[in-house]
Amino acid sequence: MMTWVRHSTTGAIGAAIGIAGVLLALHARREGLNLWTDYITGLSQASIYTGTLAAGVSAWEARRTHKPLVARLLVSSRPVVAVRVAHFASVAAPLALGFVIGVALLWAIGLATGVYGSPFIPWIGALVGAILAASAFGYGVSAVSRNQWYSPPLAAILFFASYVILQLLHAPNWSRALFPVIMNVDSEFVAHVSTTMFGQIVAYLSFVILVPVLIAVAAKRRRGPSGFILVATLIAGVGLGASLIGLRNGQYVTGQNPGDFVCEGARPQVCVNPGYRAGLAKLVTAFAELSQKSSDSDLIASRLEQQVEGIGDSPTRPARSLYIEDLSESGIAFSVARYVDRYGGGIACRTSEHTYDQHLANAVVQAWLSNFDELGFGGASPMEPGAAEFRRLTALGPVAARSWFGNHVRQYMSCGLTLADLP
Amino acid sequence: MTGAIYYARANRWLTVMVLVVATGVAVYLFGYVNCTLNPLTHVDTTMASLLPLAPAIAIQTTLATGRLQADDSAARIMSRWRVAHVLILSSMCVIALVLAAIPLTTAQSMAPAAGIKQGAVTLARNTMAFTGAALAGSSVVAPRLAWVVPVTWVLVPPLLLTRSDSAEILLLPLQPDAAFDAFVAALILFCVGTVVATRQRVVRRWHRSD
Repeated sequence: MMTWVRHSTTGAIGAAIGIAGVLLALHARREGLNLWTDYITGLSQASIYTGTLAAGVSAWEARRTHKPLVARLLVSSRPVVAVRVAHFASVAAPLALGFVIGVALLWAIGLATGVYGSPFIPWIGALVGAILAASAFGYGVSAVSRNQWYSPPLAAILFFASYVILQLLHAPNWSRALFPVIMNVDSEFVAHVSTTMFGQIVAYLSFVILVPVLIAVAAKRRRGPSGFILVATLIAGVGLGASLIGLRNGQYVTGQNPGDFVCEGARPQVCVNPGYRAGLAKLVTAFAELSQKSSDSDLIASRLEQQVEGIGDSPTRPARSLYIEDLSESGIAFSVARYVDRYGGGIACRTSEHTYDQHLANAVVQAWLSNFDELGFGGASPMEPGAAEFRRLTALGPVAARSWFGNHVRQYMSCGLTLADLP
Repeated sequence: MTGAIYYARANRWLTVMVLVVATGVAVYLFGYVNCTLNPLTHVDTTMASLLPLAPAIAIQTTLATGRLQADDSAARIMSRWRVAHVLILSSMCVIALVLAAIPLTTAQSMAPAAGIKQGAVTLARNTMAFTGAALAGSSVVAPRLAWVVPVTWVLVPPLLLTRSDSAEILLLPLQPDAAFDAFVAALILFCVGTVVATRQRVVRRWHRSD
C-alpha cells in the first residue's frame, strides 16, 4: 500500500483533494438542512487547502519528473512547447481529476440523501480552474527555483502566504477574485453572477497554459515569433478573464429571493423555501406560541415569508420577513428572536435614546417572547439585573402572560418598558 | 570536526539558519497581524502562530537532503547525527523566534481582533508541533512531501471546527500562550517525530523512494 502511495503520489494527492472537498462540503451542511448550495459553500471553503496542496504537489511532481522531461525534450520530435504543456498536464490532471471525482461522489451522496437544488455548473468550473491555476503556480515556482529540494514546500507556503497577504492588504474585490482561492458562500437566496465565474475560468485556464509555455519559450535559445505570439495570446486571455471579473467587481452572488415558497399554518402562515421544508412544522409551532403570547397585539403578521437580510429582502405585502440560519432547536428559536427583534420593540430601542433600564427590560421581554435567552437571564444569579424579572415572566401562566403583554404592548413597542413594569 | 562540518554542509544547515533569522524578522515585524483562516466561521489567528511553519518544514526537509546513499551505507550509525540535526536546528529556531516574539508578548495590543494572546510560548510550541508533525509525516509519505502534514494541520481543522469546539489538540496551532495541554501535546509530538524520523530504517526507505 505504502509503495503504491509513494509511486503514484499525484494520484493519491488528487484523491486527497477529492476527499477533502467531499468532507468539507458535507461538513458545511447546516443542521436539519440538505442543500446543494451548502455543498458548494463547503467545496469553496476547501479551495484554500486544495489550492495549497495542488501548488506544492505540482512543484514536487515537476521536480521529481524533471530528469525524464529533459530526456524527452532532447529526443522528442514534437515542439518543445507541446512537450512542456503535456508534462504540465500529466502533473496537474490527477489533481483536478481528483476534485472532479469528489464532486461526482458528492452528487451521488446528494441523490441518495435527497439533497435540494442543483449545483451551479460555472461555480464548479471556476473551482476546477482554481485547482489547475494553483498547480500552474506550483509548477512555475518549481521552474523558477530550478527544481531545488525546497521547491515543493516553497510553492505551497508561497501560495498560502499570497492568499494571506491579499487578505491583509484589503485588495479590491476584483483583484482578490483573480487569486485561485474561491471562499464564497452560496445560498438559496441569491442570483449567481456568472460573468465573474466565466471570467475566472478564462483567466485561470489561460494562466494554466501560459506557465508551461512561458517556461518552454524562456528555455529556448532561438526564439521564433510563434512563441511570442502564443505567449501574447495567453496573456491577453488572462487579461480578458480579469476584465470580465472586473466588470462585476469580482462579485459572485447578488441578493435575490426566488419567491419559491411552501407554506403551512393558519395564524401565522409560515412560508419557507422548499429546501427548508423539513423545519416547517417546528417553525409553525414556534411562531404559533409567539402568536399566542402576543395575541392582543399586531406583533405577529398573518403571513411570514423566508428572506435573507439585506439586498433582496422584499416580502410580498402584507407578509413579513422570516430569517432562518438552520433548523436546529436553537436555530428555530433564533429565527423567532430575529423576527421579534426586527418587528418588536428592538427597533424603537435602536432609533432613539433610552435608558439602560429600558434596554434591559426590552431584552428580557424579547428573550421571553422568542424563547431565545441569548443574554443568559435564566441561568444568571437572581441578583443580576433582569434575571429575577425574566424568571417571573416565564413562570406566568398563558392567560396571565397574555394579559400582562396586552397591557404593556404599547410601552414595549416604543421601548418604554422599565424593569419595574415587568411582573 | 570535519565530519560535523561535512554533515552540516550536506544537510544545508546554513540555509536553515538564514530561514530561521528571516522568520524571526518576520515575527518581529508582522507577528501581531491577524489573519483569518476561515472567513465563514471567523476563525482568526496571528501571523506569529503560522510563521514557524517555514523553519519547521525546512528542518525536516534538510534532514533528507543530505547524501541519503552515504547515510544509508555509512559505517557508523548516523541516527545520532540526525537526532543532533533535529535538536540543534529546532533549539536554534525556538530561541530565535522566542527572542523575536518578546515584543509581542509584552505588547498590550497583542492580537486585538482575534482576542487571543499568542507570543513567545505559541512560537516555541508551534515550532515543536510543526517540526514533530513534519518528521512524523516523513516516515509515512515521501520525505519531500512531509510538509503536507503540518500544512494540513494548519489549514483543515479551522475549516471544520470553531474555537468554541473542545478540540485543543486539533486546533493546537491557533491556541493562545496559556494552553497547557497544547504545549504538552506539541512536546510529545516533537519527541515522537524525532524518534520516528531519525531511525535508520526510515532513512533506508527515503533513499529508495528518492
